[in-house]
Amino acid sequence: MLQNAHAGSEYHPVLTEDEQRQYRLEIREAILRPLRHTGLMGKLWIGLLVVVLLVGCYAYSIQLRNGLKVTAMRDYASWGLYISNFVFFVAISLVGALISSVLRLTNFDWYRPITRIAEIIAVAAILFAGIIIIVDMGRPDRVLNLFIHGRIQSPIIWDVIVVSTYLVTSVLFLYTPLLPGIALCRDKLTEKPKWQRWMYRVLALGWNGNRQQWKIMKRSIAIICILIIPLAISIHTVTAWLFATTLRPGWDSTNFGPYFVAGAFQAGTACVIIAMFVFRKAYNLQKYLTDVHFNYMGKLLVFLCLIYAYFNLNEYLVPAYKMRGAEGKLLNDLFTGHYAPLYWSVQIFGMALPAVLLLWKRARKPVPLATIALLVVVAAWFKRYLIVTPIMLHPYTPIQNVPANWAIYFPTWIEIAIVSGSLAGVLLLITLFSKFFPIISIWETLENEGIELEKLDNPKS
Amino acid sequence: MEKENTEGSQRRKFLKFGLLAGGATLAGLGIQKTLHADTIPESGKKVKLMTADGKLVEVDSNHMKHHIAESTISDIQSREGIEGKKFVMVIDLARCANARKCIEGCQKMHHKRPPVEWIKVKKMQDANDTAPYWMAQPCFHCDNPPCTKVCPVDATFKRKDGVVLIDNNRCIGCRFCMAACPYNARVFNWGKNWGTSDAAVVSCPTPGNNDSNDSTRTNYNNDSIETSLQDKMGTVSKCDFCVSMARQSKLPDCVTSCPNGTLLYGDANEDTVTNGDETFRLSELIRDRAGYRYLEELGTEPRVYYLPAVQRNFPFEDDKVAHNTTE
Amino acid sequence: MACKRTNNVFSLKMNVATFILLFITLWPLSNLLAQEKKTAAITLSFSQTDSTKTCKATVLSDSGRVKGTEVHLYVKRSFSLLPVGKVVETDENGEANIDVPMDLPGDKNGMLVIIAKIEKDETYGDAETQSEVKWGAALKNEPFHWGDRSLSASREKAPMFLVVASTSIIVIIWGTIFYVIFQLVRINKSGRLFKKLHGSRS
Repeated sequence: MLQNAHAGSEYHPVLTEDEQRQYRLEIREAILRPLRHTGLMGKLWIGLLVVVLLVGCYAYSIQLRNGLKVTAMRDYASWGLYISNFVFFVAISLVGALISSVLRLTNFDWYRPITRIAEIIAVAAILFAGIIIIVDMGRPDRVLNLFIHGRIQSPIIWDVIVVSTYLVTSVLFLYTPLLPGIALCRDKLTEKPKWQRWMYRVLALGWNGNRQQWKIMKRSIAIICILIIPLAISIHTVTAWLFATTLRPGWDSTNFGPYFVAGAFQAGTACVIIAMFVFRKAYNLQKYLTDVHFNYMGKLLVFLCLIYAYFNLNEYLVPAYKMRGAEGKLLNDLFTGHYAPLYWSVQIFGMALPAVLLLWKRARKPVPLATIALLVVVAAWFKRYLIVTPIMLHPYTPIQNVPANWAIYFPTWIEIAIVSGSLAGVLLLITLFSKFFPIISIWETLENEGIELEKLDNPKS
Repeated sequence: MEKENTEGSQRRKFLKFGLLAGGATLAGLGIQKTLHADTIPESGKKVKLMTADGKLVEVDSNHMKHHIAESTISDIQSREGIEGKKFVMVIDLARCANARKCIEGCQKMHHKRPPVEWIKVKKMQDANDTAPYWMAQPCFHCDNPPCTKVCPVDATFKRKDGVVLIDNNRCIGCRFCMAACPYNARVFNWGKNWGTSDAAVVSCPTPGNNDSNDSTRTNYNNDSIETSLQDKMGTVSKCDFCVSMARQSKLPDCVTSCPNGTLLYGDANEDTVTNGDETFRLSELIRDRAGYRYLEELGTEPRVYYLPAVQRNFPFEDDKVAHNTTE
Repeated sequence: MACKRTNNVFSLKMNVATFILLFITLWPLSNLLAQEKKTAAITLSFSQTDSTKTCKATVLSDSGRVKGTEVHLYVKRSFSLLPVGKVVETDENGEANIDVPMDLPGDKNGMLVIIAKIEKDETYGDAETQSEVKWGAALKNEPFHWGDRSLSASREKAPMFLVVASTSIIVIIWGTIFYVIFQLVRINKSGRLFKKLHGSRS
């Protein structure tokens, strides 16, 4: 059913060549419009993000001067907000692979107008994942030691390799299909300042839509499509292994890799839904990001919530059945103790409730869906916090004879500011990207409508 | 030539300090500390140090003995370890009375201050109705160390003498080793001079080991991995099994500080452990006293053995005061 | 100068020692009058059968073989002396035969430094001798193999499978990435060629 769904084809039956050209003109204008003008709201939004980002930078400068003592982390809770935020960023970055690659390879077509949104989320998130992990380091000045003295036995080195590889691949995956879009900006946005036109000119790589260019591009996309799937899975699996390779009760789990991947797909999809909703509203893209897309994304989210619920069941129910030693204490603390309110909110509002609500078609309309997706994303963020902190505070050996603040963890304003700054950074990157490049892939959307841009570009054929 | 000079002056400094430390006990004769002060140029930097009877005195830092043996150990030697040794520790839980002297001894030796503890003493109670006991817990220097496995930059490593050390000049502060250690043996230097004792130089007269020769240590100009004195902000530290002492055939300060002889240290290759007063064959001690290793099921193969708290030397007494309440 | 200071300490210690000595000697006065301290010397000899290793300590004094004094046997270790065997009294020949455990590990050449001591004997006070013998048992199996390739070893000692697997994965993935980048270069070239052939299009 889904397989043959061409989002637009219900509305746009086979068009004549003239109609096709007309349609192309129309979509080009619609999509270039936000690049031409930025409204007051847009400016305010960007300003807000810049402020939050700068506050984060300021907080980081304090941390650089004084060391990590400005955080709430201490010897027991030695990982905290930064690491959970890192896991969150890695998680949402996976969605680029899911939306653009998995759906493409499985011959779903409706996704095409949203590929670019998914890809820029992936690039921004993975970039800031790398940044936040450096923020977490006690000695960021020694980051090069990772390359000089890197030990291949360490999961951190695996993570460094896989994060950098995924970043490069994601950028390629974003960039390659963008070439016609950049060329369009180069040709149409002549009113832009010189440096921006120069940027378009360089980045367009001399794209003029000739047959060979189209061929090479489509082939390259096909290659990256396949390449990015194992990369995306391994990036989050390796991130899960940072925890699962330790002996700590709560992390010492063979289920962690797939559990993280499932959670990542769910959180990332929710992020794309929110981004779709915002772009559609802000840039008036109702015609291209239709209710049909939201409907399908809603269905996808139900499916992913259910998969995630399945892994949660494995992750929590199986050990809870045994209630073994230190892990039993941890689970008690999660289920009925100190963390219970947060734990149950996250599980119910971030997973169970969305899965049930979205079964109704009315809930899959843009506004309710975006609300539910926001819930999922917030819950996903707190879920990462629950994966990191309570485990650190439930070690095998009892925590005794330490200052009171060592036995608990509540982030300081510095940590909160830095993490907020990184979240603002991701949003800023996405926003700025959408101000410089078409946020919807025009040629892919047109292809979806049965219009081959390649043919339009090369009329002689 | 220059080296000889340095050694010579260090020798003088040492002698001077030896006199100083001994001075308190040799009351009456006087320390005469100003007698030859003009022979050693003063640095102007005053350091506080504690005499054996707990008096705080100020001395010029140039008058201090700098630990020669420590700083001559190269990084490569520090990474390899001492040939033919396999250091091991036995902790007799029947003797531990929560005196916490091992912690103090360790802190003095390594210029630490509370709440930074490289050896911890914890109240253990396996179940509600089982007997509580005190457990001293240093780094276990595991033979299958989860910490060195995960280190991304080879900053923490296992040596051939069994000791696990940290190179604080290489550590990037990712704290993965801390997450990987199931015993929480590792501590982090969260800030500048984190947990470093206020007195840059601290005398540590240790029972059974109080010849003035090693009654002081300084951390000036000392960057050897083996001494673990180099803690740098943003890096991980931990118990180093006092391997710089062991190189000089001296016992760790936790061992010699314990008034009850709870901790025994030695070389497994010699099948011998000692607390300074008593010496046992390691294999016999473990066999006869049913020695075990903490959380053996984790498979980390600790190099620290525990003797169960049976037929205790002391009845269990709960702590009356809280320790380390402030940072 | 340094010497002078050492002398100070030394003479002080001597003073204290004399004082203590005086104190001790005056206290059990009768005892002192009854016996005078004599010196004894110990010699060690070793004999070995298939199932025993025996140290024979012979105690001699100026007045001949010493009978009935306790001989303690130790093995020298890094941090202390390890008592071995039983404490045995010398017989009428001034000899004490002490069995040493068969399985005591020695140094890397298999040597054991054995020390025989007379401790606080009423007549002879303290006496001590040490001797080396090649009685060290072979080392037990090492619990870990330092320098082997393992997950916990240094970077040079990474397990082979890990090195091969990671390298091949990296080469394949990055090879593909570079191939794709090369494709982008081709797109650029193709664009330039096309422009040359057809001129720029509006």
